[in-house]
Amino acid sequence: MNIARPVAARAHVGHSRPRPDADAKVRGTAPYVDDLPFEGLHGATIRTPIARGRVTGLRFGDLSDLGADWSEFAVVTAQDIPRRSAKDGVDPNLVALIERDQPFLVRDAFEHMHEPVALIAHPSLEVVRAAAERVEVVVEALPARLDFRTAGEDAVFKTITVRRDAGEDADAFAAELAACAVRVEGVYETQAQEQCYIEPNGMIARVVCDPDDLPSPERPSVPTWPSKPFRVEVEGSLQCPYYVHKALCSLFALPEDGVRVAATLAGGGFGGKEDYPSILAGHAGLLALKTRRPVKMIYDRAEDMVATTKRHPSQSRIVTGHDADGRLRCVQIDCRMDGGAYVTLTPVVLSRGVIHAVGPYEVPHVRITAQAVHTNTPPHGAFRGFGAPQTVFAFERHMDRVATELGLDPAELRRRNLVVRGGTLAVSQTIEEPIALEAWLDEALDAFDWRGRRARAEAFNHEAQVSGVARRRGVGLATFMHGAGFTGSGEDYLASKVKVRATAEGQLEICTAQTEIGQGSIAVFSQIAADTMGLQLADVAVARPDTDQVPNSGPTVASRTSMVVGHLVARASEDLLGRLERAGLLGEADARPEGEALGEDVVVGERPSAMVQGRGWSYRPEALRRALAAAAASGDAEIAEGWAQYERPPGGAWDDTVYKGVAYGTYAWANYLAEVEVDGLTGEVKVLDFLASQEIGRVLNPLLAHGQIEGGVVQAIGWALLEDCVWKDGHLTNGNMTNYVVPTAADVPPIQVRFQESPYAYGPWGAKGIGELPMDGPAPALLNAIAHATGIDLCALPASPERIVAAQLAAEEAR
Amino acid sequence: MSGMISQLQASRPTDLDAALALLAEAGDPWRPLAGGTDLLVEAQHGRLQHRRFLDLSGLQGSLGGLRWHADGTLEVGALCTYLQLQRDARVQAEYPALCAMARLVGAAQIQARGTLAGNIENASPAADVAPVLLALGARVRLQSAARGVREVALDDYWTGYRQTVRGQDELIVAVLVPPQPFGPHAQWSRKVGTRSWQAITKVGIAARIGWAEGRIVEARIVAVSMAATPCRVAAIEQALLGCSGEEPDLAARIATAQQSALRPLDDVRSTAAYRATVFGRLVLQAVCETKGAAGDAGKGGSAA
Amino acid sequence: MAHDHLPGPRTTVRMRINGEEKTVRVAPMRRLLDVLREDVGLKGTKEGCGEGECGACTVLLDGEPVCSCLVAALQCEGREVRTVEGLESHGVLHPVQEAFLQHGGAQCGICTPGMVVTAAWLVDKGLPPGGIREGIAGNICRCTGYGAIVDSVEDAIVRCQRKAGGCAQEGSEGGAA
Repeated sequence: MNIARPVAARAHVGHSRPRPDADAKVRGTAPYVDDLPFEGLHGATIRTPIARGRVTGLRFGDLSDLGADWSEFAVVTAQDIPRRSAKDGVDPNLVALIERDQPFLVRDAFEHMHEPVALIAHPSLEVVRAAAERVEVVVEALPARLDFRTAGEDAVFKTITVRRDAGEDADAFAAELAACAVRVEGVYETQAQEQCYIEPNGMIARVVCDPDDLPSPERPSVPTWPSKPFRVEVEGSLQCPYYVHKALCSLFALPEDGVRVAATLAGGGFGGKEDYPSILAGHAGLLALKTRRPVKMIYDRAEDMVATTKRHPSQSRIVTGHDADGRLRCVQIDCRMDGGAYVTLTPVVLSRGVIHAVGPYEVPHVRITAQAVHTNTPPHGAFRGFGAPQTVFAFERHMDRVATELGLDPAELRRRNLVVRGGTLAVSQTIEEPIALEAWLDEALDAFDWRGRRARAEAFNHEAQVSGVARRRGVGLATFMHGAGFTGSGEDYLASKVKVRATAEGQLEICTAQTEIGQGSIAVFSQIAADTMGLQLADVAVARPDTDQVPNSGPTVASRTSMVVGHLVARASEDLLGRLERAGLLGEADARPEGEALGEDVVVGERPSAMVQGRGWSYRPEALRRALAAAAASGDAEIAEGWAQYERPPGGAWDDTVYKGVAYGTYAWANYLAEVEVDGLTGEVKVLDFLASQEIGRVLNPLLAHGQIEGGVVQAIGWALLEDCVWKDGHLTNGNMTNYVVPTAADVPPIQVRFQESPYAYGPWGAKGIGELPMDGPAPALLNAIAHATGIDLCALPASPERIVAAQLAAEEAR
Repeated sequence: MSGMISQLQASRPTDLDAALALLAEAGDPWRPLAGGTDLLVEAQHGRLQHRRFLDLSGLQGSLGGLRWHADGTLEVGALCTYLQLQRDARVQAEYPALCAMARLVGAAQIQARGTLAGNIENASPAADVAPVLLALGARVRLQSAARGVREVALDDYWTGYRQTVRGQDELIVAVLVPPQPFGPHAQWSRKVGTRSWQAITKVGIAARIGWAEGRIVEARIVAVSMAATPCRVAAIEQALLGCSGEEPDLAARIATAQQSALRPLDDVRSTAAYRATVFGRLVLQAVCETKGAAGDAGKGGSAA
Repeated sequence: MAHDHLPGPRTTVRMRINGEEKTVRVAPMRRLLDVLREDVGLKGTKEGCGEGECGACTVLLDGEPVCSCLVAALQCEGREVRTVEGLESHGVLHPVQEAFLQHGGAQCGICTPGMVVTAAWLVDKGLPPGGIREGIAGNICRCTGYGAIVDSVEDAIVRCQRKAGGCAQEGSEGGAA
């Protein structure tokens, strides 16, 4: 079969197609986990009351005033989880993630406040919540470690070192540093941040077991663990169906087909539903197993905030050495991140922080030592940016302090240090792609009128000072990059698979494990598949992520959905096209006549990627629909299903033993600019204007990409100026949306978003990942702007009014 | 001990006498429920102190809306919401500080429900509108079945943290705001929260500063989130009397007066140091801006 | 529903929900939010925080936006409630819903029902002095950064201005003043 000329067109990619999920969302009919029809029990969690200690008992208080009795409740503790049931010999009570150290339920010793100790279930949600407060967890207190900055070396559980040198040993580095014309030091701190998705975590679990294992009138109570094979099924708000799947297989000692995990629409995730849902699914599953009834567990806001993960607090100590003209010669960074009580995802967060720590700059001599430490707070976990916002903040704030030291324009200092094509990043990755960082920087500066604005702000401040007005204006910049997809060999390890299949209706159905968390995966996958095949969007559907139905295409994290999984969608779609051709379901007669107009918006002659041939639009759509229907009717998966598995793009490898090599296949590059006004009376900061300029490869859907960037920027403005986790003795004291303050529409200006497009050869139509990028730049841009406005050199987040006023007072004192 | 919503008792009388009769009942007290924007938050957090609730929503006829007395006094019914208040053109003209603050309570959803009476009775040290009422010299009208009607100056209404003079049998039926001797320009308020809306005041001020011939002749300075209740700061008021606002040591005088009178706290929302520093600055700003406004008004300027 | 087998007082509340007369027998202090979601089965209204901060549960009560988590069922006696499900009329979306589709106003969608209810109120009843951003300050969105939402509301206002008589008449049945 040989079609004369591949058409290689795109009719959907690159256009602002509305998201298919939007219609139900604006009508209020889109179902989230708490909206699903449900008959069963409601679960609640009993948690530890202090930061560290041992549980010595549980006291179940009187419920008579609630009209209830403890006999109506199911209660699950760690005792219900048999220690030896795990296939691999480890305690199944320990969550299967990177390290198995975090229990689903505390057996004895506990490491943080609000750690789950027991689960209760009851038919009434109101009763179960009231009853949960009547259970006293009796504990024996142990000393807690609460400050990660002062924690001893024994608290360190992961260390990463990076060296880049012309010479060999540490002495050479010290000598190089000593020889620099200018040295600047600084310490930079960032705080925990709550993801604050508007839909709290929620999960429904069901157990399918043999009738013999069900309670009956003769045998009202049954052992928790069934005697015959059983199945645990959960559905809920989550980002990573196969993470939950793995955790449940391990907890319940079940084979892969013994567990089913299905994602509902998620009302936001931002990383907060990456690892925690495994625990919640385990809890709901345990209650369902104990009761043999469906169990729903929906956290209220307070529980979600105090008990689940947040962004890692960090401290970075930076020393840089420069030539007299500002060129970076040496960078030394000592970074610490607070992992909280358990390992969870921290090693990877730390890794991502390290890889982004020196930004898009060429530096011959680099020393980075990064440590993750344990404290007795709930584990810190995934949150958009995943370690990079912390280190990018530190380095970009530092760069402005260097510029001040040198009397250089901050943009000029950055320009002199930007890496160029063929240049090398701190982790010894040579940039092979065509990049033009200087041009992109200039484009952003011009778009914001950097010089003009800086001058006007300075004139405004001068005028204000003369007339006794307390307001000050400033303009700040951050230059940074963000690697897309999993780090280094991570994608090899995941070996993601995607399936597309023909349906009886002549449609194409895309089967991935990617969950729709607001980012637009349904829309983007549809566009990619439609253009790869040559279909209209109405002919493409995206299957619900359900481990019974979709292959493991990896987690919905790390800015990998569009770039990595989207690429697999394109490849799987083309695979199916080939199968339809080989089965004779598509032939010469079905080919689109040469020269036939494809439509106004269509771009012709562009291959989806270096690994996809791109015959999309070679066939008439009605012929494709007919072929798809016929393939589905054949019942033969060989004809009706297209598959793709991840293959590493050509190029070097990553060596995580020495932290050298190709850390990411590609990076998105960005320049963010902010103008602020600081009220000198109150220290309040108003963001007057913000411009986010980024190169992200091909923009697949401008409307969605714009929304991703703007949303990320505003979340980062919140982190920079408003949001702070206030801890006392390991307890989050502002665990509600009244006192944990995220931005409203009135707290932010419209965000100007600009894209440069330098297509990536191995992304679908050149797309790169963008989800996390916008989290990295705003904080340093804003604090740099505050410094420009006021001369206040804040190096810690958030730049709260309290910090600004305290700095004013300290400066007055110093005078 | 946290109860459950299902077990709470509530009544919705449709005339005032019936409501007062319920309040006069012996035993478990009835807590009046107006907009619910504080009460239902307490319920959510399991912090309700009461089990019986007297819903006032059936009393719109007697407690709703606002009226003007012949002497220019504004009478705000206990059920008048922030949204209704700020939409009234005459209130906007005569009590701009009241409208400005009503507009900053929570956001639209809270303003559509919350009431002045509720804000007063809730007695939060971080209240938004009640401090303005205090600065404006407002009185609270209470009514009970047995004792009839009495009026209490807001100065005397709050007796301690979250405590008021209202008897268990009494209901706030109206808030009375007297005509303002120095007009709209003497009114000044500022709320400092972490964000523009949906904010709880970290530190705030409500003030009425009367000027004559370039001197302060009256000062009512109310501090918000600086003590157990919103409170007038007599020491500062004294210090300001007779000042022109140009005194080089005015800031220091305010600071000294403030130090003796206010001991703000560190809490989850802010720090004592921030509150103390910023409050002093806000007093100075109130002085400067009311002086400017008074001057403009005196010149027949455009400020009105 | 779950709470109904609990002991405690019950009361009958009559209200109009999306134009339909409804009678519910509930605990008097039960939240309007729970009445809508559990007793009437209108799941469009979402609970985000339970304390009036996030606005996901916004509905119109006698035409004004309220957080239904802060309204006791009893207080709705004789009143008109409009939820997201009631914004459309005869299957035609409210102009603000249409605008959300076009401008990408919905991302994860969990704040969207409350947001479009507030937005419809703004479009129908007019903006506060601070404009759209002040008007929606009681609705937290963690995804969009608000730009697409502001664009949507702006566009809906323009669409309504183009039509004689605005949207209130067309989109609503009981937007009482």
